[in-house]
Amino acid sequence: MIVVDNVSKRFGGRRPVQALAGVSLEVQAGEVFGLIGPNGSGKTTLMSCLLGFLKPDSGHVRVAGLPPDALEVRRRTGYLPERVGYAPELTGEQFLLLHARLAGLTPSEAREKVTSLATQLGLPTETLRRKLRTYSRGMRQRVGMVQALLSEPTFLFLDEPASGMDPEGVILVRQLILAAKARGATVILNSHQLAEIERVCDRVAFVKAGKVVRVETLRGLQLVPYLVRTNPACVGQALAVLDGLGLRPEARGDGEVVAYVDQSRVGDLAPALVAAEVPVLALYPAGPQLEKLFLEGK
Amino acid sequence: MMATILWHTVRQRLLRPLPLALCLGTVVASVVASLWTTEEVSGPMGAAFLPLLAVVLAAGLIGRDVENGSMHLLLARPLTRSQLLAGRVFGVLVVLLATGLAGWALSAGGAWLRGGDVDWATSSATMAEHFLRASWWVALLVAGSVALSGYRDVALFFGAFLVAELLSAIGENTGLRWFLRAGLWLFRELTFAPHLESWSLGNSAARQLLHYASNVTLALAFAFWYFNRREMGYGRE
Repeated sequence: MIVVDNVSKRFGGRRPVQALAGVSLEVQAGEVFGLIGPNGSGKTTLMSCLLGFLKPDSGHVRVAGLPPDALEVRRRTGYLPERVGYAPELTGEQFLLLHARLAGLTPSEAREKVTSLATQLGLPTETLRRKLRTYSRGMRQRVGMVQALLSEPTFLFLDEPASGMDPEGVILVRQLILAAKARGATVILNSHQLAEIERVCDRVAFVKAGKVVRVETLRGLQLVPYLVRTNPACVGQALAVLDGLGLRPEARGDGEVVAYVDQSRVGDLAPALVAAEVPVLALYPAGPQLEKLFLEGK
Repeated sequence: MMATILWHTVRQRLLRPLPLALCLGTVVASVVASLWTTEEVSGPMGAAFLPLLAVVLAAGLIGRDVENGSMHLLLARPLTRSQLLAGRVFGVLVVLLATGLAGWALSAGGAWLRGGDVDWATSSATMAEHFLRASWWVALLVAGSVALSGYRDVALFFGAFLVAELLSAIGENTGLRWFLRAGLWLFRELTFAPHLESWSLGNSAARQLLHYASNVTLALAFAFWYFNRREMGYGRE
């Protein structure tokens, strides 16, 4: 479990900034926890405190009951920074082998792990043998993701992991986050990609002006709006069917109905409508909920 | 862990063209200089480049990693900051020592094989003096590098020479003896290395060795203290 207790952090200088002001959070073991908020809201400072790079002015952070910079915690930590700028004179392979060794793997384990993870993330051997300075941003991000997962971390801190990646990379990152969660890892995800956060996170904290203004539970409790497009003449019938299913339907536009559905019941929609002879021309998610929540919180 | 950082530092430094060229140049210069010497080989000429090589090798040793973000990845690994810094410093010293010894062995050994008269004691003492000055400069640069980003440590290092020169010049031209003394003192300290003439360690050499050791200890103590307390947020610091 990760506990953040009343953490404050102020940066000095000519224009002092209160980066964090009494932030308190609890992240349960095995949870994927998202941090969202506008630029300059304090997400990165919070991440730095969680990793032990910064010491809070007041309050404290505990990871599995220990300070975040304890070596025992570091052994179980994986981290991908937002700004990916690795030693440019190294090849991808040299860089990953170095980090695998630092993560405590033996040379043979390191090689095996690097090859296996790099293959999963679509980094072929020829690419790994090139200098890091020749990599595109998306490729560097993939290398960064590999290094974050080398020690099969229990605590995974990801700062904009899919930034600069192509759609295939975004999907791979999502799968890797869910795989980490499946093996019991706690994941802290800082991202501006709300759709991705919504897909993988169990809970999210909205950070604004150095404070956590709201924590939302996404997984399990969330009702996703789905849009049903049908014949305009059948809208009334569609509303009745969906209301019968307890989905709080709303008519929207010409021949469109929005229903709020639990993810596990999405499969019931089309059969119920078809059984009632309502033609279903289209059925798709109406838009991410988190975006709406984010805009409400701004 | 420290050994991994040490070898990483050795490899990383030698993968960059300028340090590699200087390392090879130092060895080659030693050999070439010894070929010109027909009588007595008293010291590896190339070893005089060791302090210069030290500056190139130690430049941005920590600051550059902080600037390009790779420091944060290292800090997230299970090793202490002291281990990380020690690995970095020893990595540079290993490259310096290997370069100096290779140049010395090739020049003195080559001359000896050609039947030349090699003064081993003076030759090795000269090598050691150059290495000690180089290691002092490494300590100075590391002290700057833990506190400054990028290559600003090099600017600070050469800036110190400039200050010494300026103080001396002001002292000489205005007759302000304190300026002159301060300038000369700063210059002497910056370029300080114990004189080990033929390893005859008299009182004077012992005092100089103690002076060298205290200088290096102070610089490295500052580096380790500051690096351990420095906050390394990757957002705004």
